[in-house]
Amino acid sequence: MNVLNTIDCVSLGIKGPNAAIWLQQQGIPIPESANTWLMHPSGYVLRLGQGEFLIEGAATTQLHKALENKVTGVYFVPRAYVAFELSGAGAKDMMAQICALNTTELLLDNALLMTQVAGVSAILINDSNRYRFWCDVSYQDYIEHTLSNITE
Amino acid sequence: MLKRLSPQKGEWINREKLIEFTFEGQAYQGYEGDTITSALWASGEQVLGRSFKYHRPRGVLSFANHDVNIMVTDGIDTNIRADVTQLKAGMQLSVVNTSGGVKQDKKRWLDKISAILPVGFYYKAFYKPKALFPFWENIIRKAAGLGVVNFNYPRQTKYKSNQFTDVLVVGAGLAGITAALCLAKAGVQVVLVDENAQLGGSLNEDFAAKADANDKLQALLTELANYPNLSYITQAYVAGYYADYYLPIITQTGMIRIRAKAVIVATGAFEHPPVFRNNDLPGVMLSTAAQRLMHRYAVKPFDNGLVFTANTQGYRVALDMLKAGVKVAALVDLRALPNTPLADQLKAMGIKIYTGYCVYEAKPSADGFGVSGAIICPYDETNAMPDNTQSFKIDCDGIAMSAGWSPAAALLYQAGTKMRFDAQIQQFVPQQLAKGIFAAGKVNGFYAEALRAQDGERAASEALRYLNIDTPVLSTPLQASGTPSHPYPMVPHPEGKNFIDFDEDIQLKDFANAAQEGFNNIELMKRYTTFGMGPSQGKHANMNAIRVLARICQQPIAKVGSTTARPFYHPTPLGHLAGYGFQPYRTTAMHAWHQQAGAELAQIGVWMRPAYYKQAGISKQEAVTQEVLAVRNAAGLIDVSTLGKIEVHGAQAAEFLERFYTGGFVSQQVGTTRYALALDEAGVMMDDGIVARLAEDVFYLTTSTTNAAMVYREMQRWQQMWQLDITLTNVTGAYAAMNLAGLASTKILEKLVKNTDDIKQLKSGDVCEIKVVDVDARLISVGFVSEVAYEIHVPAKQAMILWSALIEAGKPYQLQPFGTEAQRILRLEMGHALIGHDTDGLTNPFEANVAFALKMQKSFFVGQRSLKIIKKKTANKILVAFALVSNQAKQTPQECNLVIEQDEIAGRVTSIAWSPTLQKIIGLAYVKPNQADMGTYFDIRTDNCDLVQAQVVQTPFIQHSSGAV
Repeated sequence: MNVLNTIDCVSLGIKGPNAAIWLQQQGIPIPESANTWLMHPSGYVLRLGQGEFLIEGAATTQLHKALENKVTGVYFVPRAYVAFELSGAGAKDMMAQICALNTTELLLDNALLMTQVAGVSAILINDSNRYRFWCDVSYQDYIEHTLSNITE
Repeated sequence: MLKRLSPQKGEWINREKLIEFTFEGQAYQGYEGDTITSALWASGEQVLGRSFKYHRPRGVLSFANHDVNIMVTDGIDTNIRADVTQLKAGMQLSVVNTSGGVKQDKKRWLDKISAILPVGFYYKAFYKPKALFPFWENIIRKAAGLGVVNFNYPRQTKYKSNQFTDVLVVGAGLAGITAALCLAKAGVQVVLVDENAQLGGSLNEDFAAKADANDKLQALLTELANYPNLSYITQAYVAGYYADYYLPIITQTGMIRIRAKAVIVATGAFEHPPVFRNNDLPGVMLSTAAQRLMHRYAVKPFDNGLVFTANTQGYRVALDMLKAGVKVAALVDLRALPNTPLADQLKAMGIKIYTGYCVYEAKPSADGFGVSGAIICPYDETNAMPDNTQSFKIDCDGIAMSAGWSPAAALLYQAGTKMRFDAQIQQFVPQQLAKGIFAAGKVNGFYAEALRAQDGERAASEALRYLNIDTPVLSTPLQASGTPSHPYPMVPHPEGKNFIDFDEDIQLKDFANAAQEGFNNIELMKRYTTFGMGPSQGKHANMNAIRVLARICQQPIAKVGSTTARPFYHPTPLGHLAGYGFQPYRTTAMHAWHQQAGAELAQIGVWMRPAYYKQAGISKQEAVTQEVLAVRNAAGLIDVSTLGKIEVHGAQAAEFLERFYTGGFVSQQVGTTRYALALDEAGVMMDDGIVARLAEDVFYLTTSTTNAAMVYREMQRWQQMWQLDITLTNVTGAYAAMNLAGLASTKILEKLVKNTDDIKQLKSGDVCEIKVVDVDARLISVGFVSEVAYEIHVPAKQAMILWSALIEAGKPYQLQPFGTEAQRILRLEMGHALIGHDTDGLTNPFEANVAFALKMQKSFFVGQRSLKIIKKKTANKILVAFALVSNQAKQTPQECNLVIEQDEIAGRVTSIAWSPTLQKIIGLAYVKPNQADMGTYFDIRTDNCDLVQAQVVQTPFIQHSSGAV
């Protein structure tokens, strides 16, 4: 059995050559290397590249405000993401059906994948045997329908 | 169940559970675990199918999915392989390719006239006289094919998944299991796949009467369970090998695409029959089929069987028959000097052995549905000639035959293995394997039990070393003496019916005929005779065919070679391949509103968009016309969230755009927009949109809906090379957008902002960041569908607030939402060409008449160099706007209709529509340069071949929202 939860998340994208330093200055812990993630007290911090981050949770409000004053080399990336959480005994099998990559091996050690999930560009992590992936909210209807069809 | 044996050690059936089913309208019973064939054979039924061409009665041949003697229909499913399909309660089975039932098949007369239907007869027989061909075609089409396609077959979405493993072992016989165990012990992840219902391969049935034969398998299976890193899949076949160790596994329910780091192929071998007259009668079967019936399903293959062999296998099966209580009428060995200790065992049990003899002919029973005896005679191995002057009959009710094997090497071939023919064992074996591919067991030429196990260990050790796991080097086993396969097990007979390919009823003489006609190459012979082209793809036939061709051409087998083994290994239901497809679609933030408002949705690119909004009592055409006129006379609102949206930040953002697009952006003022045209390096138009400068170092640009991803990808590609100080962000999904168009749009918008001057001061082409009903918006004055229009871009999650507010504010002005159908007419009235619609994959800006967008004096832009070359050449087409001279044409031209000049093609129509505003038919078309001058008349040829006159006109077609052409 697997469980799919749709999470209308508040997320913020930060990008730019100075993004990593700036985030640390704002008190946000960041993953050491690209394509990894960590859990901040208020939510996930995903490092999508050397200079690109996706931050989820309450901290986004503070960061958004801080970015109203222009910061050199730091850019706000508008995102309208929806997150899905796939958990339960059947989660691994479901993921094997919707993602062509070896998620068991590639998501170890807080690694993240920017890949396709059910044919949609997504950011994928495995947090304590729960798969969580983010994609553009415009795909929400499609993802929910597709995963529900597979489950049936 | 007449022929059911007492319980056999390791049998696969569950005698506790009876299963009831019907076959050809009669009720039968079987046990859980039975296949359809085993249950029927146990019930005494021998006629289980009809052959494809001559409709000869057929029974068990390989009993292993290496032939298609027995294919049945069950309800909506057809061409079910009865030999390997598990029996299910309630099955209602009927045989395919019959008319009037399997025993009374009305087409059985074809066998009587088979002499006048040799291979290739239809290539020569029906092409003259030509007028009669449809008559013959009709008959042949009806005669061809097996099961009947059910056009009402329900769509079934089959399971499809991706798996990964260190080593995939294909085939769970002794070699495969041994290899898998060695690998598992070394700690690597192993997946073991076998097409049988249970693991073990021939360990399940090839006992040679040894009492402890099954114990070894049970011990191996117990050991397998000890390794959590070893998993196995049964009733599944690896359908093919694709690059980089990617292999599809077809299971009962769907397909698993597996990616391995190494592959061990332990797929075993196909047994092939000796070729003698009537070797296809029900009751004549391969020796391994007899063993499977006895030991897997506890079914007697015959009561009094004769064994016809050309190797040791025949002796083994004879011993098994005796142990199971089946009488052995005699053993006939094609070889003059067989050398096997098993012969003494048989002789000691009173079995008569005829060496240097052949079965000259199997004699049918009175009803033709079984065997009454075998005519045997001495056989000259050197010349492959029977001496029928000394023939005599031995009574029997069945024949177990064994002449040799061919390797199940399809995967090895597909993986690029170089094979060689080993004359000692009379088999193709791997000579050079691709990296990471290993072969073990019978497919590698090892038949003796000890050698198969040893070879499995050796293959595993090589695979481990390939995976950089330290392990001792094991040597290849030494080949045992003797040959498991006879070099030429063919018994000619003047009356034929000595079959090589049972699928297609191909006889020994057909090969000689084909060679005589000049088809003496293996691939040509395959196509002429159709051997190996039936549903079993030559599994039981290819090796014999190769031997026959080699003998005919007097060439060594190595030179004759083999046919190509393409995927898939077995015919695979299309549903397994199709499965559920991922066809993503996107919905905008206003999707639910559109649905509630009655939108007819259409998928454009990946987006679901309203084509138009349905209205009660009026047609689609009328609804679209109303939407167009609403924009022209009042105001309309369309959801354009689907536009691609990209932000370019950074000190060199303008420089980046200057290089990427054809226009000038360095000089662009903040708060303005510019038309942007993107080309590829060949100067072909890729996409267009607008670029809005929001700050000195911030640009916001749009692309067409369908090209958004491509443009962003191209931008990233160029940035990789240019390494400018910029940051690109694709914000297509993050921002929603709506286009408020029409003369009343300004007034509507003014109601939703705090300071109406912000709107009043906005000139065409300006952009500003402004709050509209408290939503942060990017407001662009852009006239794509109307000369007065505003694109409003807002964060997607707040878009519905603004959309609702606009709809509400527009009510007093008869604001109407409109869809893409109206949008296409509106943009055409404005004279705008669409890239990808009015251009194709070769169109350059000169041809599309958009040279105004080129700033050729720039130092560089993508495609500029090509354009400089193109510009020197004379254009051969130009896009022009036109209006039809008359609205009364017999037939309105359509998009893609040709422009004709003096009976020659001069161009084509790219867009055409009835303009409700102008009450005219207007459009865009490519014409020759000499036809492009304003006012020139040209002809368009309609689908009915009428010529309709059009005239080149200026764009925009409309002016001041109510103007004229």
